[in-house]
Amino acid sequence: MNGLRNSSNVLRSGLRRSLLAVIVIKVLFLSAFWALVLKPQIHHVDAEMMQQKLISQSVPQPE
Amino acid sequence: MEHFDPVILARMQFAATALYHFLFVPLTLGLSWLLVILEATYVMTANSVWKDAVKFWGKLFGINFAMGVATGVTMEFQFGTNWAYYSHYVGDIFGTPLAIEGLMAFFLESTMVGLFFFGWDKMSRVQHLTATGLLALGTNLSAVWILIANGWMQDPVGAAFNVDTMRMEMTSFFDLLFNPVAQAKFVHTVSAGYVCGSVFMLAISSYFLRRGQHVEIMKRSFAVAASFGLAASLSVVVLGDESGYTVNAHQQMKMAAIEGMWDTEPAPAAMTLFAIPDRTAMKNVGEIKVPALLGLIGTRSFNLTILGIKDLVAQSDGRIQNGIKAYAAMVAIKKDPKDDAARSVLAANGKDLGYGLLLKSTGVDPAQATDADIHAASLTLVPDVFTLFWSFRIMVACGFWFIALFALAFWKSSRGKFAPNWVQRAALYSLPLPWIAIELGWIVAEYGRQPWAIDGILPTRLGASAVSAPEVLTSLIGFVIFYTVLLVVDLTLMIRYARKGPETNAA
Repeated sequence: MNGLRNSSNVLRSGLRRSLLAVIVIKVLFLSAFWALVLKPQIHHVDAEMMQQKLISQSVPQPE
Repeated sequence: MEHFDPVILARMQFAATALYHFLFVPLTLGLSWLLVILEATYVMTANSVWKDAVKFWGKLFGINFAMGVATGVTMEFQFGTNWAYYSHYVGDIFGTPLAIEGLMAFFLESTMVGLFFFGWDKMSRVQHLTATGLLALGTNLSAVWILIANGWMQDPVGAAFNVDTMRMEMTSFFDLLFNPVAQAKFVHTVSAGYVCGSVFMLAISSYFLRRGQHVEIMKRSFAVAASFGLAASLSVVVLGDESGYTVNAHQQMKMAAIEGMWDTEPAPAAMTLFAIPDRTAMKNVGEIKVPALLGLIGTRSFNLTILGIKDLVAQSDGRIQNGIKAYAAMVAIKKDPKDDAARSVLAANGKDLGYGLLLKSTGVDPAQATDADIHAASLTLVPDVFTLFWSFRIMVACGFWFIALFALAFWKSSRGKFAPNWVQRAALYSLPLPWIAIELGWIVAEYGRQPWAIDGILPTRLGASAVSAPEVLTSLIGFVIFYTVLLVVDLTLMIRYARKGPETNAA
């Protein structure tokens, strides 16, 4: 019974620490990556820009 | 740097993050229901061996869940960074299932995963089983909404183009919800996830059975995985056939490319088992064919034809002609919104507006397109036949191998033969195969949709943001490095804790 109780937490402490560390690092990386790299690349497109893209602009082709 | 095409880089970035995300999803889908089966047996029998089994497999489920969580979010980032025009054009429809997935399924899944891990001593057995069941339900509901969104990209039903807002708008939520393509994709994808979870459990059980360790837990796990896996692997083939049938109805070019079928054959068409497709010459080399098989599977009839690639290209020329009329009408309406004649032309030809845009996406002004330009644009509709042909065949071969493997494992376990045997060795070596098959399945589905972002509606090139190649390359490199590190950590943890085995009272 004691054995069962001791193992009652499926995620034992060593593993739990590793997984928590991974999740924290993941959140920190994604937050930093978002703020520094991705956010400046965000584009908001409205109807006028869509019209420009579909009608007025020429579409760049791969070389 | 100017040699890099930002659209190709953006596609590579989305493909890399999607393929990485889908390393985790199928195991979550499959293992969650296997946990429900193991725990339900524990609740019914009160035998602690089953509880120990739930905890062991739950630990591996936890590693997979923790490593996989948030890997899907990065794909949604990209709709704003690399695919902003796509987001404007189809966001009204595409965004809806994604939002519902986050609000409904992901919250349910996340709440229940907490109860599963930390609720053992705080809930009764039945309450805990209910939490595990809701966890499995949440993961599957999550897949429903994602595949409804993806199904709409393959077959855009329940939506119409609004020339005043310059975007597609939803006309029927129920058409979106009950899109046959999405339903077929959902059942095929989740059953592939069940196969993945079953192979995973079968392989690791085999590892311990071959070593004579944790036999009581592992023989039960082996038997559960064999039974569930046999049902799932049979389903995945039947449901895959249904998925293929819907492809033939809605994406004929993809179907023809998968089959390497350049010319239309008299019904029922033969199936090509082996060939080396040559896209430039538009023919196959070294074909081995089975008469009538493709026609029977693809159309479920003896007399319906499946169009070949060359005829589909010729058919597209006509649709581009209609698309040019729709495009000219759109231009006229933007100049004079009260031009009712132009609105009538757009209403009549609107379903082919995407084909006019396809011409635009090849760098040609639709107003000045020649017949040669139109035919060149039609040729861009032919996907990479070699990749599709072989990805599909390897996926199908894996599917049939899983049926054989689970049938043998079921036969062994039903006779109580758990001593080290060759079926266990085969199961162990089969461990990577579900992931290979599933990733190839996605390559067939998504690479086969090109050059469309939304089939027949929006060419991929017109959905891309006006970002530079260095910008996309920077984020692509960032994702690749980060995801590679995560994958190494994931595999290290998974192998370490799988090898460690269950912590148990049972021998």
